[in-house]
Amino acid sequence: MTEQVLETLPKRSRLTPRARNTIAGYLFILPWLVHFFMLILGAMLASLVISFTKTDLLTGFKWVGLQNYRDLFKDPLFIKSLRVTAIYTFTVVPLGVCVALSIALLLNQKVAFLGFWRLIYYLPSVVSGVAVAVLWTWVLNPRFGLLNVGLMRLGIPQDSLPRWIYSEKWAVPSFVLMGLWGAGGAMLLYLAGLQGIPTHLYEAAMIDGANAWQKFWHVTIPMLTPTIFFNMLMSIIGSFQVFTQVYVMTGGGPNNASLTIVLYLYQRGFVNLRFGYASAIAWILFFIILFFTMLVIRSSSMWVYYEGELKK
Amino acid sequence: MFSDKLSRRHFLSGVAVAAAGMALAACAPKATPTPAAKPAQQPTAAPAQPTAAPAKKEQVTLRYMCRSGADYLPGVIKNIDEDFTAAQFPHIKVNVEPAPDGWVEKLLAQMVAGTAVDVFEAWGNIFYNWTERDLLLDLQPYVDAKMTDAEISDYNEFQWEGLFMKGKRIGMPKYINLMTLTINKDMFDKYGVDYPPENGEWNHDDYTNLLATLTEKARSKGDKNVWAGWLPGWSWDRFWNHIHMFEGKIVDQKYGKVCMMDQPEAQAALKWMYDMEWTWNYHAQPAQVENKWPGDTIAAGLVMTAEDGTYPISRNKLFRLEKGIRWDMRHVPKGPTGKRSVLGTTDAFSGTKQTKHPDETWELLHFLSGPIHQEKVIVKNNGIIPVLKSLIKKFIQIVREVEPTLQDVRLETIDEILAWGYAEDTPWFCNQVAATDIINPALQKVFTDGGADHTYFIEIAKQVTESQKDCTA
Amino acid sequence: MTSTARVTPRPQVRDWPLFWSKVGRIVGKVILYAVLAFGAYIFFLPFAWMVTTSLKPAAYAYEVPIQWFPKKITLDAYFYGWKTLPFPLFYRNTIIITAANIVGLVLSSSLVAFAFARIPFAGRDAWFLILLSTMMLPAQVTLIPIYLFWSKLRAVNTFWPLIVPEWLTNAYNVFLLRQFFMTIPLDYDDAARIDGASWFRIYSQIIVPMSKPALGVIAIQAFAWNWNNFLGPLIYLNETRKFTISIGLRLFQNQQSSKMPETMAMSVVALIPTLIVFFIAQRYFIQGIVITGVKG
Repeated sequence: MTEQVLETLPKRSRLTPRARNTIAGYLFILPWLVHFFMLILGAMLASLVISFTKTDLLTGFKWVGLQNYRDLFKDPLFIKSLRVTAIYTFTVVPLGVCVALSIALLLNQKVAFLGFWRLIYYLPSVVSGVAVAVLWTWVLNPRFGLLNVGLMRLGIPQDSLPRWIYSEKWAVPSFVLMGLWGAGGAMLLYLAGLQGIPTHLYEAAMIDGANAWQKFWHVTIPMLTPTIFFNMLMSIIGSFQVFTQVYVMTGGGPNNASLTIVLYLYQRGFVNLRFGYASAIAWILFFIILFFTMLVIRSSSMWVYYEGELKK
Repeated sequence: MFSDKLSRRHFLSGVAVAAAGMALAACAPKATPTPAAKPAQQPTAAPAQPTAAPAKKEQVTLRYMCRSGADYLPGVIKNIDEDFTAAQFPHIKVNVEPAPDGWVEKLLAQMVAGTAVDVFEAWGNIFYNWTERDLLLDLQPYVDAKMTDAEISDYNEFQWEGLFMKGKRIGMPKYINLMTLTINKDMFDKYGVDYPPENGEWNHDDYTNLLATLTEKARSKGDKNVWAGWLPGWSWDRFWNHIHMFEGKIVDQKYGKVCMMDQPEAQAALKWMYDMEWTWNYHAQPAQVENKWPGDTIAAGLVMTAEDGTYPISRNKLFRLEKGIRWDMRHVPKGPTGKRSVLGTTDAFSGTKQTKHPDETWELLHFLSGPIHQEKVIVKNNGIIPVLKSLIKKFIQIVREVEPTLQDVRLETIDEILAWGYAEDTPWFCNQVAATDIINPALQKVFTDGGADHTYFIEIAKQVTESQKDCTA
Repeated sequence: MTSTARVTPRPQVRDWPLFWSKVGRIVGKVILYAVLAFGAYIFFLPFAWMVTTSLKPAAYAYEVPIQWFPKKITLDAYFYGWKTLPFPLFYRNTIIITAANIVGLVLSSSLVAFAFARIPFAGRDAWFLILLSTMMLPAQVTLIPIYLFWSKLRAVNTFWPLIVPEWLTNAYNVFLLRQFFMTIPLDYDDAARIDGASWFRIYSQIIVPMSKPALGVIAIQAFAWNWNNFLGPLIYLNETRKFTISIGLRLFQNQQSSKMPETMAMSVVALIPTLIVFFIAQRYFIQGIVITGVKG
């Protein structure tokens, strides 16, 4: 049905091509527009308004203007959660991109039992949140866990082994390791991206006499930059909002060493019923993520290569 | 077939729905019928005198958010259908809505939308926030009108008083969880050490010496991965009773504003806890036992004794039947002056204030906390301690009938704790949220990480007291 | 690709380097397999622990050091509680929701992403930024307003709040597909436009067939996400007969103990369908790509 509408458009209407494109564009994005106006916008505006109030959502609202925001910047726990989240994000994002990309490149080779290898590397990314937490509590156990037993075999004396989630110093690195273990999701995207590189580009490079390294550097990487760009942005957006593992494994401890922003928001909102304050935290986080997203988007024109980019 | 216009209309209707969505979101709070009420206001004035049962009863359906796991659910549903609806209240149908973890968020969303369940289950710190905001059905008027003194006196005082919070009765007791010392008798035998006394006549010095001996014997036999005791001191629910036993206090009085953790008595208790864990390592450090709950550490053979809730009774299967561990329970030792204290939980069934059927909700709560449901479900179905004193001996008898190996476990300890009355409700600050926000991370710093010793709480006590300054309740 | 053109041609290949290059290739293969195996070991070990734990009697689950091959094996954890809950019903519900959502999500995301990648319409960049920004506000603060919306529509305790949003697509999937669509050369569109093809025809006959891998990824992820989704069903579904598997599995754990074998068995049960779907689908979409590649 839609096809007929769209096909008839260019012939019957006397609209300019530009107007026709605009109509077509909005028709195509209609599902998302409905989603946005029906579910998202209302909820976002509601939370924005709530952030200027003191409320538990249940017994009324008290308009406090910018009070919540002012209080936040004097709140040592909030400052701490900012620091914890920033450290986590800026470690896990670059490392995650490297790990996922490396695995994808390995699994894009002609290897026997390819499906099997892919399955194993993909597996961790679909283990449900709570099970991951239980699993890693065991992996990170200072005495018997996989990790420290492995390190011990490498000759590191037991006394100097990290106590991982039980120490303030190692709590955040523990979550970084867990994040990397779940790199399979991003790997899947890189694999799909690698598969999408037309073989004729490699053939052309071969005719030009390019060696493997040159092909990798001048064909594979440029063609993968859209996927890298995507994974990086999603990873930034996701890491700034890290919650489940921390909530289940340490509850933000010890001594708030792993108190992430969203965990703090959750505690203030759902535990203490201070939804005004929690919403203010959410909106500060929103702008922090927006800032870094814009930074990456702005820089993307320098390093992201689109075969099919539209001219402005 | 689509036409351009039609699509545009769809688009517009989308916008309209969106506007409606926003409007709804903005109107949200108005949906809740009850305005905010200042807590602790006229505790005796009954907001709604329970009405006498009308002659002709209207059919009512109650929704009960039930936290029982899969294995207990069918028993709960059967009991309510048969013994509540069919036998007593044919006009009240109860829909049991199972809810695993995440139920707090769910119930909050329901409350905001004005569609909350009528009955749910919760405990101490959740009650605190919700009581402050007057979200729970006050049961005191019903208790005054419908319960006899004899009936009331069958409940344990710490629970009955603990559920009277800020001037309201916010729930009916559900079951009891008490702290005892769980011991692995096999390990005591292996190292040739006597069990702690059954009659509870021992003190903290005896306790320290016992764990010292156990540790020494284990190490001398080359057993490195086993610890004499385990007390998760970082947990609010597990630490304060030792301070009470040393005659110290967390807070000067119920809903008080002065933190007493810097006083000599509390400091002595905290020093003892710190030394047990970090100086002597008689108590395991969390990292040594994966911070598992005490029961799991006993099953793993990691610890010989653990201060734990009474749910090891339900873990008998794990300890005794699956692994052949001969275990037992003992009274925790007395403090230096002979005082003894453990946490007794205030787990309860509660009604939401939003309920459209407060009278029927009361009947259900009364039933759930009453003798029939307590015996058939709490004891027989779930195997946990009932809230009625008159059922305790029967409870011991029934669980032993179901599982004969429990003959070897001194379940009479439970009866004694309740009879001697040393179980207590958790301490409450005037502003509990502000206090625990400071105390809990400090507990982790000292007892999880070992990053500071007991003197750290001198500074913490000041901060806590400071945080209570503006509290007016 | 201008960058590839700059590669300098290599000197003529002689016979002896051929031998060495063969040796090099074999050594490369060995290293490749070694690295793969080591990585797989690290990635797989925790999962192996999950499986062995799910097979142990509960009392043995906490033992240290770990026993990889338990002395006693039991499938109790897998059958525990199944009789007490209507699991066939839970499966039916989950399949309905998941199947509907895969179809809806692939359809709606590809349409929306196509417009963002291919059609130069007014306001496109602004809308795209708005789209991205909807991912930046933590779901914790929009949870209650959205619940309220569905509650007012009397849609709580139905599947609608779980299905409608997926049929209306979401930022993540649109962004993902847009990135893939943008790697397809514009020449295809231009040629088709000259032939008078409509945007919808370009979408359905050029872009979609060329994007099977990406659509496959979306479908797999939609499956995994919907199959395991816990919070949505928990919040919106009240009655037992409406529950999904994820809630049913979570009811296996009760509040009195941590029940490690049950937790692990539940995760394995949840995982298996996802893995089967992945294993079958990855073959399909990876081959699909090779074919397009050759065509291109």
